[in-house]
Amino acid sequence: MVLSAGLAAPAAEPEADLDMEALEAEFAGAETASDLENPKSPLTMYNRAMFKFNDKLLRWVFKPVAKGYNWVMPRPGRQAVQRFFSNLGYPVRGVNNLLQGKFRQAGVETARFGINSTIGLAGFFDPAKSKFDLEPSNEDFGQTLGCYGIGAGPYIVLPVLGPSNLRDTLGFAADVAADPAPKVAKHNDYGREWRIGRGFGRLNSTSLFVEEYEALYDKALDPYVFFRDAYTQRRAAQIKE
Amino acid sequence: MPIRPFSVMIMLFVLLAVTPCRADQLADEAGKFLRETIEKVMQLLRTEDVKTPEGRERVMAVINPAFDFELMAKLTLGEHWRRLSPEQQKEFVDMFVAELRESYLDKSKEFADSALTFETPSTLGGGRVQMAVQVDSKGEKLKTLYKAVRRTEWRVYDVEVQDVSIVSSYRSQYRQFLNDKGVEALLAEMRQKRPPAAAGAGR
Repeated sequence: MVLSAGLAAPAAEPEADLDMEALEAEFAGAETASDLENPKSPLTMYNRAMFKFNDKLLRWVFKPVAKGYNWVMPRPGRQAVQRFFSNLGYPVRGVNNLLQGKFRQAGVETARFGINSTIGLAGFFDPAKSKFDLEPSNEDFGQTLGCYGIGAGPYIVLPVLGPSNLRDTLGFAADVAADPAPKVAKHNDYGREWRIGRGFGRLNSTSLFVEEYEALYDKALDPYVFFRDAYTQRRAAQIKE
Repeated sequence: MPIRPFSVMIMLFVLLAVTPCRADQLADEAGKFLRETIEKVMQLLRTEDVKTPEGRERVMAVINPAFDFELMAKLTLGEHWRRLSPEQQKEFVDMFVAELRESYLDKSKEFADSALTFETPSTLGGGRVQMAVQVDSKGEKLKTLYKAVRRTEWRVYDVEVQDVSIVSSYRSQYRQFLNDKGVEALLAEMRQKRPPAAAGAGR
């Protein structure tokens, strides 16, 4: 029945049958989160310049390296490395779940860490998800602040790290400060190895998203606004959850 | 006295029979439409060669009537829509619809072999219904959300991928562009970004 309409859809359907106000409001509401920027404001000019810098860094430095890395390391291997580093992020996720009153999720995270660190072979595998149906929950301090009702503040593009806002930048700093992994490594005289490992983790995650990033970038009318808006929408949804 | 509990039971029964209210029906109806459409598109994408214009056309024949691309075009412009001349409106809609159609098809193609989980649809008011669809692609879970509105037929008016709405992201780009540079510059940019005349054929 739907097929019969075919390609020759009527050119101008009148919107009389639609609640246009509700539809307009649905999308106009989102704009409070990702508002217009004055192109001449210093922050916007900085953001656009930094966005461009990050893009070149990704395309000219990280991507060629990631390409070579992809060649020696197949995708499943890269996903395993990603899981390993993600597993190490447990303390920060656990704490933020607790701070947001998500006690059940905090318990799930703890169980995930226990299972994946042992039978998941130090986190390279995720039997907690595949065997026990324990889904990960990505909570960070930026989301905790948002959950407490603190607004996003202005949008900020961070060097290398990319899209953020004032609240999430502070949150990120807190997450880094709270992360025990580098302290444990340093205490055991593995500080240097940790930093190398961390850099390797970055390269690994870059290798997993660079192609998708490029496709989105190249298709966008204004890539800067596209990523600004996508980041803002995604963070708002994560905080609401 | 002994009749009382019986009549109460009858009343309860009648109440229960009536409860499936309009909102649920609306959601069920939209859910069925979305499910059928998405499954049909995915199934076609598994068999059709979208690199040939004919294969693409056959998939488009299912996508086209299920989406209200023109409504999406209007929603992305918001209050700016009325400020465009009829000619500008037409050119904008044509270019926007062409791009969105192609990009929806290409994006869906990537997930043709994924397992889909359809969640329970819910109403949004004003004849709008949304339904989350989990896409399981090679062990990676992707969250999508379809939004449809009731017209003579159900029509999709927005899709969210990982919480990012298609309409919203176009809308914010157009808004910023129109604010900074104006309508003519926007249309010129869109003409330039447009794939060569052979749109529809493999790119």
